[in-house]
Amino acid sequence: MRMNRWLLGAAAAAIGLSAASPVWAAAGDECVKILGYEWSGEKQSMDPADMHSGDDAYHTFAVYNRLVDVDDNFNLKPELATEWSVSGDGLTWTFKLRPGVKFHSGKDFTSADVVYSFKRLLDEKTGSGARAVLAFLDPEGIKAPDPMTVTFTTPKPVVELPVLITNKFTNIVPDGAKAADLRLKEDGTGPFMQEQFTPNAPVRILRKNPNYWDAGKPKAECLKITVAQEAVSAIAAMKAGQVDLMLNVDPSVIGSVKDDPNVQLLETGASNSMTISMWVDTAPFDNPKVREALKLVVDRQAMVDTVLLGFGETAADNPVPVSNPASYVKEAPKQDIEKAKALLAEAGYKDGLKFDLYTAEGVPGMVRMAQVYAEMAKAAGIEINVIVTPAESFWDDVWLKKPIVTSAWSMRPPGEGLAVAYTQNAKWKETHWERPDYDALLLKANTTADEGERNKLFQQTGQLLAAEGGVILPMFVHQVLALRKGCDGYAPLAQNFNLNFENLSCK
Amino acid sequence: MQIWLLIVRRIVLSAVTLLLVSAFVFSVLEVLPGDVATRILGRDATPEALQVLREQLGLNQSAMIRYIHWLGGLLTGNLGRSLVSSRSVSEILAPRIFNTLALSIYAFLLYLPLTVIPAVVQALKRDMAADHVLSVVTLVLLSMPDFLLATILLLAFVLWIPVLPAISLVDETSSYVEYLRAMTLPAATLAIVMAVYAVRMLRDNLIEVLDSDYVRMAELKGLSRGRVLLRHALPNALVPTLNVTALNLAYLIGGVVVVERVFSYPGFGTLLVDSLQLRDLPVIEATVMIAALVYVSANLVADIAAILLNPRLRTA
Repeated sequence: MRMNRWLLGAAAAAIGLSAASPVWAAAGDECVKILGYEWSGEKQSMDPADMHSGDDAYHTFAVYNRLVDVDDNFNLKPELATEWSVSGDGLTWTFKLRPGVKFHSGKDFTSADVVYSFKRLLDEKTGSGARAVLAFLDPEGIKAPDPMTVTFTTPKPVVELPVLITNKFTNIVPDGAKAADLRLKEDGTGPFMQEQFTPNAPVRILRKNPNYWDAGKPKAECLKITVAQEAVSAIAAMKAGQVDLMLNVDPSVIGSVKDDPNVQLLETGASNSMTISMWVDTAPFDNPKVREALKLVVDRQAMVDTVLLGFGETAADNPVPVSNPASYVKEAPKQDIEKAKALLAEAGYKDGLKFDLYTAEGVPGMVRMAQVYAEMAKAAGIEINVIVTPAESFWDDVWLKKPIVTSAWSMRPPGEGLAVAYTQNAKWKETHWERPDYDALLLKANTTADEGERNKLFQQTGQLLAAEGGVILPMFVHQVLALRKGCDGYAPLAQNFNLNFENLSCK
Repeated sequence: MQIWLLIVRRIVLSAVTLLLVSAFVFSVLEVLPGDVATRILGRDATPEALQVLREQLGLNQSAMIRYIHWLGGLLTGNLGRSLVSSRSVSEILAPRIFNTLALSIYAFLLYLPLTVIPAVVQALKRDMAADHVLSVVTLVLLSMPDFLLATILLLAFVLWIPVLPAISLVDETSSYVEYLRAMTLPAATLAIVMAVYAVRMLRDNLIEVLDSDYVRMAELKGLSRGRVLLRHALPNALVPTLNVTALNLAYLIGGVVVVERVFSYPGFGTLLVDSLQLRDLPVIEATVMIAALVYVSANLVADIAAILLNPRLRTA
C-alpha cells in the first residue's frame, strides 16, 4: 500500500515537473526561434572578418550590411551602396553610399568606414580568410573622395568587382573598430542588434534595430538563434513547434517532415557542387580518354535522386549551373556506358580499370556519392575501391593529397567558380590542371565588360574544363530548410551564409 | 605507522598516474593530424596565413617547452587560455562543469528510485507476471546503446507526448524550472542506462536476503511486511549494489558525452567534442585532466577506505 502511494507521488512529481506550461517563459521566448546546424564553438565571433563557419553567419548577417547584396544568379541589389559605376578604362569602380545610415553605436555611416573595412580585411595582421579572396584589390586603391563616395582602383580591370567584393567577409564595420572588441560586441548597420551573445554559449538573442534605414523592417521583434547538430533532435524540435525556422534539414530526416501540415519545406537553388576530382598528371587519369570515360559512366539524374533524394540538380562537369546564361550547355550530359567502354579500350584498358577513390562525410552525402559512383562505373568495367576516411581530418590529410578524391565547392559567380580550383595559380589545385590556354580564356572573360561577350567566353572556358579537365561535377545540392506554419517572409538563398531575416515574421 | 605509509604511497601513485596521463594526453594531441591554425582558417587557409597564425598562437615553439609551460600552469591552477578565442580556460569550463554536475546529480537522483522500486517489486512478486515483465524490460534496456535510448525518449516525450524540449539549451539566464525541464530527458537517459544493471543485481540480492533466517525471524516476531523489507532486508541487500553504483558514477563521466550531444546540452561532454574538432589544445587538455582527476580521486578514496576497513591490510 505504502509502496503504491510512493509510486503515485513520484509519478505526480514527474508530471508536474515536465508539464509544458507557458508560465515558465524563458528569455527570448517571444522571439522568432531560428535553429542552425553549423557550430563554431569557441571560435564563434561577432567580427565579420572571422566568419569561420556558417554558424557565425547566423548573427553577422543579421547585424551588419554589405555594400551590395546578390541574388542566386549573382544579380546585384543595393544595400549600403545605392548606385555604382565603372570608369571607361575599367580600372576604377565608384560606389555612391546610402545617406542617413547609422551604426548601432549611433555613429554616422560614411565612406571612411567602407575604406577601413576593406583595408582591414586585406591587412595581413587581421588574419582573415578574406585576404585571399580579395587578392585582386589594391589596398592603396581604395579611396574616399567624399563622405558619401568610395572608389576602388585596381591594377587590372575587374569587371565583376561589385559581385566579387560581396562575399561572406565583407560586412561593413565602423572606422577604427578593433578585432578584440568586434569579436564580442558588434557595431553594424544591420536590421538586428546584439542583445545576448557570448562565444560558445548555447543561445544568441538579437533585437530589432528601431532605426534601421530600410523603413518597416525588420518584421520580427527579435531573433533567438540556437544550434543543434543532431539531425533527429533538430527535426523533433521542429515538429513539436519548438523552432520557427530550421536552416538546414538533413536529407536523412526530410521524409519525416515532408507530409507534416505544420511544417513547410523551403528549397534553395544550386547551393554547392559535389565533385569527384582527379589529378590530370597522374596515371591512369593523365589519359584524356580515361577522364572522358569516367565522366560518361555517371547517370546524373539517378545520382541526384539517390544521393540527394531529389533535392538537387544535374550539372555538366564545370562549376556553372546549366540554368546560368554562362553555361555551355542547357542540359547535363547523359550516361553512355558503351562509349565509355570504347574509350577505355582505346586508352589501353580493355580488361578494365581499377583504382582507389578517397572520400569522407566532409559534406553530407559525399560518401554515398562515392559509393553510387563506384556502382555506376562497374557497368563499364571500372572497379573502384571506395576508401572512407574520418571526416574531421579529410580536408587536412586526404584532399589535395590523394590522386582521386570526392570534394565539394560552395556556389561562386562563374568567373570565380571557374578559377578557384582550376587556374595555374589557384590555391586549391585539386585536379593539377595547368592549362595556359584555359587561364587566358578565363582572364579574357573576367576582363570583358560586355555581358553577352563575357558569357560566351565563360561558356568556352567551362566547355574546355568539362571536356578535358579532371573534375567530374555531376550535381549541385539544393539546401532544404523548414519553416513552421504561421511563419512567413523567409526566402532562402543558395549561398548558405547569405541569410536575410528582414522579412521573417511569425504569428 | 605502516598504514600511513600505505596511504601516502597510494597518494603518490595517484599523482604519478595523473602526471602520466598529462604526458600521454599531450603527446597524443601532438601527433593528431591538423593543428588549431588549420582548424581556425579552415579551407580558407593559405600557407602564409597559417604561418602568421601559428606565430601568434606560439605553436612554433617546441612541444617539450609547451608541455613544461602547460604543466607548470596546471600545478599553479592556471589552465591557460583557449587558442581559438583567447578566453581563459577556467572561464570556459566553469559553466560547463556546473551544467554537467547538475545533470549528473539529477540523473543520480532519478537512478535511485529507478533501481530500488523495480527491484523491490520483482523480489516481492518473484516468479509472478510483474517479475517476468520487469526482467524482460530491463534486459531489453540493458542491450540498448545509450544514444538509441536517448532518441526513443526524445520521440516519446517531444513528439508523442509533447511535454519536454528536444533541444536542452540552458545558460546563466535560464530559470530553475527551465533547467529542470531541459535536463529531464538527458538525465532520464543516463539514469535508465545506469539503473538497468543495478536492478538485476539488487533483485537477486533482495531475494537472497528475504530467504535468510533473520528475515524469517523478524517476520515470525510479527513485524509488518513493509518494516521488514525497508528496515531489515533492503539495507543488507544494498551493500553489493553499492559497488555497481560506484562503477555507474564512472560511467557518468563518459556517458554524458554521447547523451549531451544528442540533446545539445551545453555541458562538459559537448565542450570536449567541440574542442577536439577545433584542436583547441588547452581546452581539450584541461577537460581530459579534470575527467582523469575525477577518476583517480574516486579510486584513491576507495583505496584509502579499503585500507582503513580491511583489518589484514591494517596489520600488514
